[in-house]
Amino acid sequence: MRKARIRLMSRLMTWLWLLLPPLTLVAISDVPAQASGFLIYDLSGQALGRASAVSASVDEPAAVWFNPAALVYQPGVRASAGGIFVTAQSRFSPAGGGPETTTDRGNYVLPTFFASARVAEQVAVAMGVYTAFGIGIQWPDGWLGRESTISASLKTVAFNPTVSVKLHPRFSAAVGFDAVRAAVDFTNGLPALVGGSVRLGGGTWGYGANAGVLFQVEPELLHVALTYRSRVKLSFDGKADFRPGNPDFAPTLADQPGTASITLPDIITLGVMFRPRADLTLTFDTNLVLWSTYDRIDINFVSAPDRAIVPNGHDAFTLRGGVEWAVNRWPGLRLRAGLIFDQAAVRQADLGPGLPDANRLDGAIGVGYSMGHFKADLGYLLVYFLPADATSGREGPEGTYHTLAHLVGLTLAVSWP
Amino acid sequence: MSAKIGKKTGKKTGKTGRTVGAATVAAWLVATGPGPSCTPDIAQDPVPVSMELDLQASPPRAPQPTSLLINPMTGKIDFSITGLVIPANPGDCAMLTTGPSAALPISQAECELDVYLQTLDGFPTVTPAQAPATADLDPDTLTVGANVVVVATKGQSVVSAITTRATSDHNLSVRPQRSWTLGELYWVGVRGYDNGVRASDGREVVGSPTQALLKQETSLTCGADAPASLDPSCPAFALLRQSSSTDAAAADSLFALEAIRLAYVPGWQVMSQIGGLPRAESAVLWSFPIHTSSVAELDPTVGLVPRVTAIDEIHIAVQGPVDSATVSPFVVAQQFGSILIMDLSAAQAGDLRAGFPIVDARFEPSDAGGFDGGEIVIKGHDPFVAGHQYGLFFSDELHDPSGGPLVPSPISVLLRLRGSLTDETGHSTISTVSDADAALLEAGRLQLATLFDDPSFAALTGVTRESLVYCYAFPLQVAP
Repeated sequence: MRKARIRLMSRLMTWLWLLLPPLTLVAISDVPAQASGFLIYDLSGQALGRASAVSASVDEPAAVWFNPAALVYQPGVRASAGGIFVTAQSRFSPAGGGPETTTDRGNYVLPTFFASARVAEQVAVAMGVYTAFGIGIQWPDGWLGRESTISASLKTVAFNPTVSVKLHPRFSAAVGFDAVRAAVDFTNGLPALVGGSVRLGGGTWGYGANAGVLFQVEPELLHVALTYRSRVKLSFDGKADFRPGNPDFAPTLADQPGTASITLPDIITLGVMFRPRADLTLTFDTNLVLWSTYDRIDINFVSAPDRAIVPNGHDAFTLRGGVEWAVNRWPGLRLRAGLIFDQAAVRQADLGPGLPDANRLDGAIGVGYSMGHFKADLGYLLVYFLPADATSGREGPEGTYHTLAHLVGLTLAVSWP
Repeated sequence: MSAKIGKKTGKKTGKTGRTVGAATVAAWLVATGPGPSCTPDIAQDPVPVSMELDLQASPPRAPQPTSLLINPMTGKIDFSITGLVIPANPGDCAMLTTGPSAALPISQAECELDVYLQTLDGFPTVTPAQAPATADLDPDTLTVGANVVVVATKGQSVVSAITTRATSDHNLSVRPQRSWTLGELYWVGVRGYDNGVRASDGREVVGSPTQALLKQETSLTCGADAPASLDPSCPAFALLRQSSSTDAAAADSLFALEAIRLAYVPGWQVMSQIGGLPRAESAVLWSFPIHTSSVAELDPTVGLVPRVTAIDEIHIAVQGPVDSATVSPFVVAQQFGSILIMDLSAAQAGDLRAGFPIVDARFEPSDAGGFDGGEIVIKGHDPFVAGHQYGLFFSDELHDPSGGPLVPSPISVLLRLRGSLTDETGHSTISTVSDADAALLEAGRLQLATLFDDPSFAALTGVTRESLVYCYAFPLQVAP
């Protein structure tokens, strides 16, 4: 009986995995980043409601992202699909006065798909397809900082197979492999005397790995988690389409191939879950994101002048706190809330309009309801970027960036048995 | 998935992610294709053809001749402006251009030609003007006065007596039907863009970045009078900094360009007002002066060769006045004179008496209105011999009324060179002379070199390479 169940689960998993790529390629999307730099950490509606402070208590297939070591504690076969709707807008106030510039409001949907199966008492396998990094911003064509950025888009989709092993009833570990498909599409203005713009685009694959551990110090009472995701180098081979406003520059700015590379940062997360009462879960996570990998982007052309973007990213912390209350009066109902402080990855002197980063204060609320094999979770996150002064004028005009974003996440999950 | 941009309009035909609906549609598109379809579709458009003006290329790709080579201090052609230091004495060229320690990156022949050019206060009257392009031009679009406009500044007129040609090496060639006028300053403009010259494959012809900067109506330095006071945000400086190794190099380039831009101001004016070619439609504009000294002109390609009017009379065209008192024929053992005619066929046969026919020589001013010059007329005491090869040599004893010697025409200079006009592969050793012309001239040069290298010739005639202002050999035939 037990063997038959395992075989059935395995077949289900195979079916799910075959289904995953076509369903979840939709996850390639660009968004204004909602964690430091251009990291989009909040990948499920359930986690979103707790400010994604879930690494030590994640009980959904999205554990593939948050902490795969938790997967082995999730019985049966589980799958979740959902999406994060993001809407964001930035505003720039020039240092020397003058009219403010506002970006187009960016509205994005980031689909996610996760599936897991515990194929043995001590082993679970899982797959996740999601977007964890992205940039999407569109400034007016004629704005002050057009030579730095008119539009910037980085789209990624990660394919993340994972194995989770229970090494001890209270301790589990997991490893995974990340294959990241990425596409960039940047447009910036050419120098004033040249006029017009250049559009750069390309795609590539990058690869990385991840690992996690979960220690149940006191099961269902106190858990501690540690996860690591490696950096992923994305070496783009792309093309440039130069559109100089002054035709005299066209022969020297021929459309041509170009290369550039961006390294997605390592992420280290330390999380704690404490359950003072059976119906109340408190969680706290700290992310250390090694944005120092995002120090310099050299865009090299065959004949046109090369260009370098030098954000000089620095390692940044994110502090997350979340709470979940199981409402006893309505079994299956969960209410959630959370707070985030997110440190900027780019210093003021290096700030540019392609990624108007800033320290952020976020507030989250959420609700979840489960019934039988099904579960639905809805979360909302308000992301308030503290005003960020660009002070050097090196990567863009001097002035102050203001950004406000809203995230709404909805996840539907099914589990069997 | 991709936000495709219309090339002509520059407007987006789709906006990625502007709306949830758009994102959903895009998602569906992605979902139907493999991974690589996620790569944005970046248009790769054909490159327009450019009229080149790149002064920093090596060698420079710029129209020639050009006023930029005139040293404002001396008023003469000066190749050191381009960093090429030419010796004053053509005899030094062999040493500086050959061997492992050659200091000049040019041939001996080109060095000798440049020595001659540096003696001039403008370019030779028979110099064709050339402008390089990045592809072959459509000859049908090189319309004189419309797409190719030449304005004579002193004459304040459009020069219509010119011919244009698209050469196989991507050059536009402009030459006068006879010769450029002494002392004149010419501006040449080429109309480009929508309604101008086209490439042979129909592509649009545009200008160059340098030309774009020279078209600017305001100071490239944003008013700064020294590199140290340049504002980093000054647009032209910001532009040059992107392609310069250092800010100092960018500043130096900028100030050099600003000086040229200022020199172009009257050019845009005359080209617009007299030539009818507005600045915005000009793909390239340049100027060149013609030297002021009188010259006995020689250019077989436009018929400027000795004219045999009778079996005993030869006329040689001179542009500019000549002091008749200095027109004196060579007489063996009596006077060197400034005019020497040799029957090379007779001399080669060993008949020295017949080799130096006795002639009279005089200057006949032209009676054609508007042409300042005339002809040297050589009248033989006896008829010349039809079919014989004759050599004509004028020395620098021939002066204009102000006392200055006539200057040689370039072909005379090429024929008197010490260095070879062709290399071992048969190619021209002079950048401005085609392989075919070099091969033809090299045959004549070798023939005359036997004379010039013979010390007894100089002793007998007083003619040396350096004193020659006219040199030509031709088979005598009486024009019908």
